[in-house]
Amino acid sequence: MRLPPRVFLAILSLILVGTVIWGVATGPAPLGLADIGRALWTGGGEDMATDRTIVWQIRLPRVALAILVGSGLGTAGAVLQGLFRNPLADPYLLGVSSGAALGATVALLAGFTWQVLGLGAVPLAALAGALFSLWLVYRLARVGGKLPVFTLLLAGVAVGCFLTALVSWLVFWGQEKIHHAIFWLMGGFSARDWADVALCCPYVLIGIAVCLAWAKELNLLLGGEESACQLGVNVERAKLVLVVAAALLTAASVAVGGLIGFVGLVVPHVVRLLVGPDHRVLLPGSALAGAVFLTAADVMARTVLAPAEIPLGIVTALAGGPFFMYLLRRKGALNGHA
Amino acid sequence: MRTVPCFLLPLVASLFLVGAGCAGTPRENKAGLPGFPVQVTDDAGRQVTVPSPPERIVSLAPSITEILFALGLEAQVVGVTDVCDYPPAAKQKEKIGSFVNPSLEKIVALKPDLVLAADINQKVVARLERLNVPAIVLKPRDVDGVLSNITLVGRATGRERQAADLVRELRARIDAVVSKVAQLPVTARPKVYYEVWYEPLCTAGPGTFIDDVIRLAGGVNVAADAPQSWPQYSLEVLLRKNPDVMLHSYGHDDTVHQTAEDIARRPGWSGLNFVRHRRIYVIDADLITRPGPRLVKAVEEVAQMLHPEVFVKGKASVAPAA
Repeated sequence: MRLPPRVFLAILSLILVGTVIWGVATGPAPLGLADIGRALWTGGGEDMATDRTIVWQIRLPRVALAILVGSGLGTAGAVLQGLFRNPLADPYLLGVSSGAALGATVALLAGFTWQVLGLGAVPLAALAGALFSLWLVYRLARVGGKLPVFTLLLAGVAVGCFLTALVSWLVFWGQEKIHHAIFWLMGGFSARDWADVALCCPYVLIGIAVCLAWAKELNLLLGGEESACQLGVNVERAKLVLVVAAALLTAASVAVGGLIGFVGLVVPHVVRLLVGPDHRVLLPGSALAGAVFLTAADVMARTVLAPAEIPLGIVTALAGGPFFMYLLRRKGALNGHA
Repeated sequence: MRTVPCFLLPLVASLFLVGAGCAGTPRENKAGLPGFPVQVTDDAGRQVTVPSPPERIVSLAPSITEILFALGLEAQVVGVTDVCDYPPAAKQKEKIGSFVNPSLEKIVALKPDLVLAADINQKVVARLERLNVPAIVLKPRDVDGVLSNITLVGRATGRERQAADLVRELRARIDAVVSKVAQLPVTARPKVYYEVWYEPLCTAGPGTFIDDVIRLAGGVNVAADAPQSWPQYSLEVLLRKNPDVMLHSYGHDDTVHQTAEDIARRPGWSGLNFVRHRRIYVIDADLITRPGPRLVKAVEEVAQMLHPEVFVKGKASVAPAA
């Protein structure tokens, strides 16, 4: 059941528009569609102040973050699965997320309250931690001026494990503030605002653009580095660009959303199943599908137990896990990548 | 190394993006009422201005709900957490989500003119601040901290007189216990072990209300020297310290019940003083862990358990005899 690429991307875009409307129209506070429309376009009068706040300051930034983080993680997952030629690769394999988690945990447990132009300490520390771990993994993985995917994988896992252990150690000593760290680690968009959107937006847009621009090289790399080299690809440069782009997508996503699992793993597989392994379609498809999946998951997270919220990482794993198992049972479903 | 500065470019760019969108409109001020606007410094060190006596208060913690009701603000409370169960009337109020993860949207939808939050809600408080909703953070460290919280809430809600009365009454009840305990010789202060959980052993260390209540009630918390507030406790150390009294709250939150017999049957526990002398007592966890007015009741109840010869049951809450 392979769809023509253009039709597929057009349908996904339409679904995304529908999901966004659903996301803005649903929430624990009962708001009519007409009220939401007025709050969005005309603004309404003084009596609409609360509705305006809910739509503009609470729901829209959440939907925007879900789109950015979902598309970022979806794209990063697709790139890394292609690059490592490994169906189990996901954005967290590079150790970048562990660096982000360490940065965020330090900021949360130390109780940093400083702000830079409206941005809180936690996302900035998470981003700094992610960039630091990326640099560390990169330095460890380089062998004689080259970046073999094999050592990159090992360096990512090693750095990731070590930094995760540090996070556990800090949480163990955190005691009173343990809740902050645990909720952050479970992922989610509760109480995020436009500042968080602005923080991750440039990374996600640039990261996705770079990945799309290198989709053809990624296709050639699927056939092995030697043959890609013979076909005229600057293999080392292509790998470096793609790894850094995927890592930046992950870093920005984790910095604002915490550790949201399964998006980067499952979404590329589903898209590959529907349109095949051509990265020129797979990458934009994964970005769109990731955005749809995470926006929908966030609506579930804030409405299923409303007014209580479920951590988003739990929703994505609960929804993604069984779906992934179903895919695994389908013959050949996961063979499309190589 | 050369690549690192490139990573930072979007970060710098995004900081400018944020700077552009930061201007907010100040909230309209309905000043002129007696004493208002009130400016208070909350437990997070934030200056908060309450423009007029609050009519729509949202509470983000069960202890805060108890303080508000004790100050006669039942009618003004429009939203509470789903664990706010005392006094029973609090259960009828609109729910804004859980204590650890309240829904910002639900809070805003209730149009509060004052939000009272616990330390755990700092993320939500930061957002409310930017939405120009006055939010006060309460973070008491001990029983005294709870009393100053009551005064603070009284000031912020225009109930200063009621708050002063309540604090005076609570203070008198604490003093009644403390003055009786003070007459006892130091050797009459039992060593107390409060069990939070048993697999693994977990107790209440320094900086907890439990520790403070045990001290005020004339006991010595064996875990007062622990390095953490909620330490995982070593059975060896417990046996070594051999406490005289064990307190716990099993059976009060209808999840797990551990009877005195269950505890006595634990391997290696039979020689402990509190097992041999059958001095294992149950205290309502809500009394001893919620930093609200009922913490004083916990002091009275624990004093009865630790010093039954001094505090006649049911009479501890009567004003001091002296």
